[in-house]
Amino acid sequence: MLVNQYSKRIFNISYQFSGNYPEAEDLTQEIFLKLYNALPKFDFEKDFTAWLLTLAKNYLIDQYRKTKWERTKRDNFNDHFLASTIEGPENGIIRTEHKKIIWESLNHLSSDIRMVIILRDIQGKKYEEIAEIMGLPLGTIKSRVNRGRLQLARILKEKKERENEM
Amino acid sequence: MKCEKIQDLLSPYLENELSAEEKVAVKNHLQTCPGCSSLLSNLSEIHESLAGFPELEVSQDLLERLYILPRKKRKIHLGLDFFLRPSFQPVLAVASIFFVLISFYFFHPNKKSIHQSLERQVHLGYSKIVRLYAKTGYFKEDLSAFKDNFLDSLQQQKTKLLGGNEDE
Repeated sequence: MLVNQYSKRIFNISYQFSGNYPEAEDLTQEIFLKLYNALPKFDFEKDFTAWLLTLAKNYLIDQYRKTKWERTKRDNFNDHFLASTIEGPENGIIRTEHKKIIWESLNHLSSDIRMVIILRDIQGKKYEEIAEIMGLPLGTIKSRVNRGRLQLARILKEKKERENEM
Repeated sequence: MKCEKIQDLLSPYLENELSAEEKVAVKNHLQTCPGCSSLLSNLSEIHESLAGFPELEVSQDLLERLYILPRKKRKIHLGLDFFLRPSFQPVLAVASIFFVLISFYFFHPNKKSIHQSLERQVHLGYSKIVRLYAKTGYFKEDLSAFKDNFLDSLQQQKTKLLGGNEDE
């Protein structure tokens, strides 16, 4: 069944993109509603997962452009992730702090760059798969991933420098 | 190479996607530039952190909401299905033409003249029907007169024939 097979994937991409748990639940529901409506148009020769992720990506970016989530704060990193992240005792606190900064910095990225960073670095998809989902050339995807990572790295660098000053 | 150019190569450098020549250029630059080396270590940390974000489980509440979605959708469709089937389309077309004409009549600025001409047309039609009905009445009378004449002439022929036989 579609819900059993894809709900986790869709919920996680919605959560990683929006950063807000109740918002991600509503988005997942809306994406599934869109899926049921679009299902008769699906070409069975195509890859269903890529098609579904394209549908989800389009909906998430459209919603983002309409509502501008960047104004709303992302959930506290500790709320949902910390319980599932196992850290060793050494450097554990610092690493968690940095993860928190990276999680919050995702909101500073534009919707298109945030989406490719989520697909590549969080979900570990291949560049070719991302190009298919985003409907863009491979070179554009690689350059967006690069730009996104550099933006995050600069934010992390600034925060680290501020920590050292204090 | 300048820092800006090297920074663009750092991400592919981490993913081992550079040519041997580019790799050497980046390595040499990193040995002399603390800014780019610190950026590389941040990039590496980001890469590691993002990959380590765990997948969350879907709550039971959301799962239940997702399971009832197709049923909800079907309910809406059942109501509309009757009106949306192709065989109902001519009825919809006729109804829409009817509504267009009705609205044309009601919202026309010269509604009175339309009403008068409509009335005239209705009267004309009615009188035509009456005339036609009267004509059919005459035709019926003519037909019965013709029938009587025909029967009379037959009777006369019969008596003539019978009279001739008796004479013989």
